[in-house]
Amino acid sequence: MSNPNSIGNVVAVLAKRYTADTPQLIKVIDAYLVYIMLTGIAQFVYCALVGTFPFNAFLAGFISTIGSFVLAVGLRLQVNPKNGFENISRERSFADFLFCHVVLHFVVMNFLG
Amino acid sequence: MDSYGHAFAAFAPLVAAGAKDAVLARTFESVEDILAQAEETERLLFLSTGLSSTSFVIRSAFDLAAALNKAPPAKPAQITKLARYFENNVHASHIEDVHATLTALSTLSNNAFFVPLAITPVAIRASQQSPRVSVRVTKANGDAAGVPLTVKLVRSASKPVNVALTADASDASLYSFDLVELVSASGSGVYALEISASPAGTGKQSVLCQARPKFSVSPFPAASSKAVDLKFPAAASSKFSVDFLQKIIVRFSLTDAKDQPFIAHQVFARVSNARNDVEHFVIGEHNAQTNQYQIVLDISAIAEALDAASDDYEISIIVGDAGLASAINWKIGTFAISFPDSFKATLLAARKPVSTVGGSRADFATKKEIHHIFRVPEKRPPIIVSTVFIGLVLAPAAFLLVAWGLIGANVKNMSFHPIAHVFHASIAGILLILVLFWLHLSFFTTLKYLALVGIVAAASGNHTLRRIAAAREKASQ
Repeated sequence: MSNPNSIGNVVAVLAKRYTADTPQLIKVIDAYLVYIMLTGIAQFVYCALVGTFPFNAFLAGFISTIGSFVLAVGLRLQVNPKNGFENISRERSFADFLFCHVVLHFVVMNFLG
Repeated sequence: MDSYGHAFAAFAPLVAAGAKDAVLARTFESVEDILAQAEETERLLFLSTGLSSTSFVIRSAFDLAAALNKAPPAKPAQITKLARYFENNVHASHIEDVHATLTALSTLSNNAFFVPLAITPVAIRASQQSPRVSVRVTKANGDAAGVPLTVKLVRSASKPVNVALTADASDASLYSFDLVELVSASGSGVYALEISASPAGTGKQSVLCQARPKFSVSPFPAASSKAVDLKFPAAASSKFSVDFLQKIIVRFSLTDAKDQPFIAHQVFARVSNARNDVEHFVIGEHNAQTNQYQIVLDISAIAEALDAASDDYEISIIVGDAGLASAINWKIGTFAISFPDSFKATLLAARKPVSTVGGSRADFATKKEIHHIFRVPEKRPPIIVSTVFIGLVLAPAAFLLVAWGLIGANVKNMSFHPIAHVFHASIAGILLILVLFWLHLSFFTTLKYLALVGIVAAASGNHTLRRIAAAREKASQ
């Protein structure tokens, strides 16, 4: 038996607890967050390897991923019942999320040129 | 102040009649206080109560003084300033002012105690032709002073000269003397004249004494070293031929009437050609050792100013000085200056062309149009790199679908109420509008469409989400 305090064990326990205890709704949002993060990383790698030209397009793409990530985190916070947002229904949070996305992507499209 | 005037006026006949009283003497002494309280400037003295008041008080004070046969307790400078004040009013237009002025000037001119004098310069420029300097010395009312004058002539670095003057036989107020003779030892220049007369007045006047220079000149072309003597004011009889490699050197000395060396303020040579309307000046240099002036006309150096045109040029020597009645302009001769054509061509070619547009300077011409320069596009990466990164950016979407599949995300809760369809459609419409904005819509058109679709989306979204929330509440109870 390996050491229960090893990193491998800690991660395994963490993953198990996450899978068991996290509501399905939160997991869906988490998957979405990971997706956005991966997209952002791909953009950043492109910028580091190839360059930022045309800069406005790069900026639009990067603002889009970062903004989406932040909005999704906001949604996740409000939807999670453990965070004390009981007076805000998850439907209301989702409406805010949609509205903010419209505004965000209007700006993004403006930058896209 | 007028009350003092009345007191003086009242006491004068009493004194004349033989009255002797301490009050009279004390009253007369108050003249000193009156003058001390008067308005006094650097040049004038007067009573603040005005012209007629000043005149009345001064007149009655002098009358009382005459009766007492005692000089009024006033300083000569104060009386001089009073006289100047009345002189300033000689153009008075009101009859009362005229009377006040004239009577006061008459009193100041005819009294036994102090008569201020006016010294007026008449001729203060002396020259060989008119060597006399004259001044007019009068009393305040314009009468001849009839006093002997002493004049002190002062010039820096030479001893002052004192002269005693008497009035002219023909005009008793006019005094004149021969300045040129007086200053023959110290030479021409500017003298300060300090004129003093008893009993009053010291004046200072500047006097200019003209010098009459003599010239000697020797122009010669440097190459041949051939000197020519000239006598002022005659010009050389023959014409000189000079080419562009030579120099014309003019040497001369300036002396005044007493054969003293003379340094003029301005000495030039003027090279001119009336036909081309061309002229050029060269400044003369004074040599302190030989007391000579030298002007070097280097033809190649002045060729530019003469347009390198081969022609006859007149050369004149111009001497200007404050001590000269008029400047000396002595044409020394005519010079045929020749420039080779090749020299002229190179010289003119080297000149900057003055570009003109429609006869005006190029400054007012249309400027070159300014074009905005856009950023030069950088080199794009190879297509394969771009394609790979498109794949990389899209790949997480596949991850998302798989992850959601594993988590078990579904759309089982989806509402099929007609308004829900409207909501979904309006969200899709908003996304479509954003894409159109990217492709061709303008900013404000986009805002207009977004507002329209946004209202629909807000209303239908509110309805749909409210229904879902209500259903969830019901289910959880």
